[in-house]
Amino acid sequence: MRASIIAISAAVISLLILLGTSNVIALITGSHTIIDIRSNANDINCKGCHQRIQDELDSSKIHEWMTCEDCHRNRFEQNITFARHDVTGVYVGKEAHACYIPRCLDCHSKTFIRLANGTTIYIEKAVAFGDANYGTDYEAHKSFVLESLNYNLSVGENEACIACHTSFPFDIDYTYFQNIDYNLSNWGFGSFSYATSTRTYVNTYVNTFSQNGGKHSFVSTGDISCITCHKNIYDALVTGTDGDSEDYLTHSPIEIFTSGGSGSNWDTDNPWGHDRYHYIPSANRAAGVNSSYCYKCHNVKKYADDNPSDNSTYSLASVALDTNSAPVHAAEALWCQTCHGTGKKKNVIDNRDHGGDGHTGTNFVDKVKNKYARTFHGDICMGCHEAAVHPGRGGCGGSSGSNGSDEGCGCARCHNKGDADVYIESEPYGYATNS
Amino acid sequence: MELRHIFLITAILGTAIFVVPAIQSLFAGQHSFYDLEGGFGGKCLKCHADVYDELTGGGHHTNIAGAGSGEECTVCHRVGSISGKEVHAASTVACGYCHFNSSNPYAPVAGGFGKSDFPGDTGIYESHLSFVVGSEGSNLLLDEGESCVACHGDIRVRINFTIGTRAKIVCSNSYTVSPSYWDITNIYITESTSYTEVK
Repeated sequence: MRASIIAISAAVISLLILLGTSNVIALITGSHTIIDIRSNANDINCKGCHQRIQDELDSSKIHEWMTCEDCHRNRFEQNITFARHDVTGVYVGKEAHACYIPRCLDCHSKTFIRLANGTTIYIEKAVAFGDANYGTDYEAHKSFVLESLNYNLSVGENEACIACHTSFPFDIDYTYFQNIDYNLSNWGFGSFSYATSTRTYVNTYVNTFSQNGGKHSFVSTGDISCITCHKNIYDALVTGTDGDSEDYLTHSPIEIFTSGGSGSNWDTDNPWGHDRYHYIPSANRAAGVNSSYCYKCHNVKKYADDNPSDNSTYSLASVALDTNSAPVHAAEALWCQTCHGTGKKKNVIDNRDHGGDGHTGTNFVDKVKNKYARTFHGDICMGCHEAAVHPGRGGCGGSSGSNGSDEGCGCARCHNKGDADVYIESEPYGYATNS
Repeated sequence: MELRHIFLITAILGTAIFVVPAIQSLFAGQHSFYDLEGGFGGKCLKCHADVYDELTGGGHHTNIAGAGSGEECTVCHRVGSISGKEVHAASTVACGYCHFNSSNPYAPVAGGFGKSDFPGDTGIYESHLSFVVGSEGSNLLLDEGESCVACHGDIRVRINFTIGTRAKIVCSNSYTVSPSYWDITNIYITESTSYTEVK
């Protein structure tokens, strides 16, 4: 009985549908209603299909006020002809129809651009990268920009821009040498070799921004952290490898100055009681190593601009003369020899306590620069200047040699004779021996 | 069956004989043929009035054969070789039939996909080119039609996007040469996510 009722009901409903539906259903409802695109604005709603991108942009620290058309349909800033239909007529697209993906540098190689509506505005030019040939070779990230041209995650060199200027997460694998060995005799290289094995440091991206990752979620320039991509260097400055008296910190050299501990900003709590430059006391390392610290060497101009009061205690002007940070975009590629060597304002400081010419008189530092691949320069220096491999003062026992030095004890072998057998691992581990 | 039931049935049938004066045709009007000599004149609307309503409610194609002429459908759906062999009444047509043809004075060229014969149409920077090409391989509509109506039609579109959300940069230090340098050996997506946009 129930089955009969259902069957009769279905038949009646079907009949009603047949009679009530006067037209054949179109395959895609609305496909014959063509959107009017004749106004002067873009009448196709990009956000209809791309709301997620608008959401990214809404959370962005910069560009959040811009329209899709300002970047993707801008006839004033591009030599790309895209399709337009406005009150003045129909303009047939050539290289693009609806939208193109711009290179960031299309705009950021200029200081004034026009928005899609024709309004002229001032913008920040990308220092160096916005210049011809991407600017100075002193810029540490220039090769990154250049080599981004070979990849198609985005157009042009945009991968490099996105990596630093958005919250889109990039992990980075750095592969470099495992360690070097060298022998010094009277400030001359008896031998030098590097391991055939390599070290790969996996820099895992950690989002420190308030935005979720997205290529349209731009971060403000001031929030860009060097450590986001260079955690290996941070580890070489902060973590390192545990040592007996000092930790092995390959990016944190000791530059010995025997003033007796008068330097107010420098750590003197070390086995030999010397002032140390470029060194962050252990208590301050975690907080002290930040982008500003990086700029102190790698972008002296920016550091000086950001910290004018430091000029009273630290001659930034002198450092600036030896570096080339003025034309760089973010950071200068530099080595110890950038500031220390013949003719530099910060000449190599020998430990005069021990007499002799030391490595100043033999142009030792200049030779290192000229003879070996530049990636080794710092580690060659650190073979001696890393705190953890320095023996304690007790080894000298206060005795003096014939020239007033500690000849005959541990100090003189390096400081007076310039002899050393060094093994040092690359950062961030930096374990080293100096026998 | 009781006698009263027989009387009732007889009464109903008798009434029906008088009330229904003629035999009902299976389909009313099936023997009244249209004269197509003078054009279709809106005959398509008998079944496709909804499509006609869509067409006249849009921003373009509304006046394609003259306002209210009823011939609008034929402009697109009876074009080309309508010989009665491949097509009887109406053909589906690709948007590009008119809009990739620069010699058609009535249809603006949809340039910028590298599909038209318009001089300089390369489409090399068009972000949606893969959408158009992908539509050509879909059989929901003819050729590139899906991509055209997705943007230019007043239709509801549900799009499932899969995008990269994390990437890896692989770089190696070329320390065996001097001067050494950092070499980017790969940049690739390592994580992705899928989401849906509804237009």
